[in-house]
Amino acid sequence: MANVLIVEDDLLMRGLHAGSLRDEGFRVFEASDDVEALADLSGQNMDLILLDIRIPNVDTPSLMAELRGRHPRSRTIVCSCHPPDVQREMIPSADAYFDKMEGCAALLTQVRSVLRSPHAA
Amino acid sequence: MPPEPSRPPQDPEAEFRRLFDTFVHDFRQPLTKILTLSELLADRLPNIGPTEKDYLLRMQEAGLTLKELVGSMSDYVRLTQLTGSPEPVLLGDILNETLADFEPAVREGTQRLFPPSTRILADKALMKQVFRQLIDNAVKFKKAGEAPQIRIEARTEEGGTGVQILVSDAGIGFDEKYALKIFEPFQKLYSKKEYKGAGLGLTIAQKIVQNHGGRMEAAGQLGSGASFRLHLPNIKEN
Repeated sequence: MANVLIVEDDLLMRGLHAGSLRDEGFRVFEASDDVEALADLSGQNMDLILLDIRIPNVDTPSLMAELRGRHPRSRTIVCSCHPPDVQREMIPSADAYFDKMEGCAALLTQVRSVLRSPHAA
Repeated sequence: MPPEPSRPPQDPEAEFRRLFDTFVHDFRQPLTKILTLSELLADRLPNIGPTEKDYLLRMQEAGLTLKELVGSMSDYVRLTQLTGSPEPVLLGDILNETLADFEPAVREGTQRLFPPSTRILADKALMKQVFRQLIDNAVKFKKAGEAPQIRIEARTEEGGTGVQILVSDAGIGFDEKYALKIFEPFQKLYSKKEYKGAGLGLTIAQKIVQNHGGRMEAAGQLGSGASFRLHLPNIKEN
C-alpha cells in the first residue's frame, strides 16, 4: 500500500485526513511543519504528499521542491481551504489540487485517482 | 537616528486581492470543519432518529449555502477584475469547451444557429464563464419535467460594428419588468428553496462582457423562456 505524507498544521484536519487514509490501508506519515516534513522518515519513500498551503512561517513552494527532491517518485496534491483555482495560481506545479471543503470521501477519491495516473516525470 | 525604512508602495489592486484571498481562506477554514465533521457524523450515526437526521441535514445545507456564497463572491472578485487577453476565437470552440462540462442532455438540447466560422474577440477562459453561466441558467430555470432547450444564434451587427449573440431558452422565463434587476448582485426572482444559488452568476457574466468592451441585455416572458443578448466589439482585421 502507498506511503502518504500529510503536511498540515491544523491538528483536527490532519487527524481526520490521516484517519480516513489509514482506514483504507494507506501508510500515513504526519508533519505539522517543514521541520517535521523534512525530518528523517526512517528511509521511507513517499508515494504521495498532501501539502497544505498556509502553514505558519513556511514557504510552501520551496518546501514542495525540497520534498520532491527527497521523494522523487512522489506525487503532490496541494490540499487547502483556498479554492482550487487560487491554489493553482499560488503553486502552479503540483500534480493536483484539493479543496478541503469537499470532505474526506472526496479526498480518498482524488488520492486514488492521482496514484493511478501516470507519473509526469 | 535614521528614519525607519518605509514600506514600499503596494499596487492597490494586488493588495486588495491578497487581502480578499486571505479572507476567503479564513472564512472557508471553519466552514470546512463544519462540513467535514457533519459528513462524518452522518456516516457514523446511521441510527439517529428522523428529527436528529433532519437537524444534521439542515446543518449541512446551511454550510453548503455559505460555501456557495463565498465561492460566488470569490468568483466575482476574481473574474470581474480581469480583462484577460482577448484574441480572435471561434465561438464554436468556446461552446464546445463549455458544453463539455454539462450533461449529455444539455449538449443535445443546445442548438447552434450560426456559421461555424463565427469568431469573436475574447479571452477564451473568461468568455467560457459567461456561456457556462447562461447555459447553467437555462438548465436551472427549465420547465419541470422537460429537457433543457437552448438556442444560440450569432450574427454580425449592422454596419459591421460587432457580433451579436443571442442565447435563449424555453424555460419558465421571468417578468420583463425585471430585465435590468436580473443583473444586480444577489438578486433572485425565484425562491431560494426551489432555485439554489447566490445570485451573482449573471452579474459576473455581464461584467465580463462589459470588460470585453461589450454589453449584455436580458429579455423574458413568464412561462415562455428567457433570452440574453450579447453585443461584442468586432475583430479588427490587420
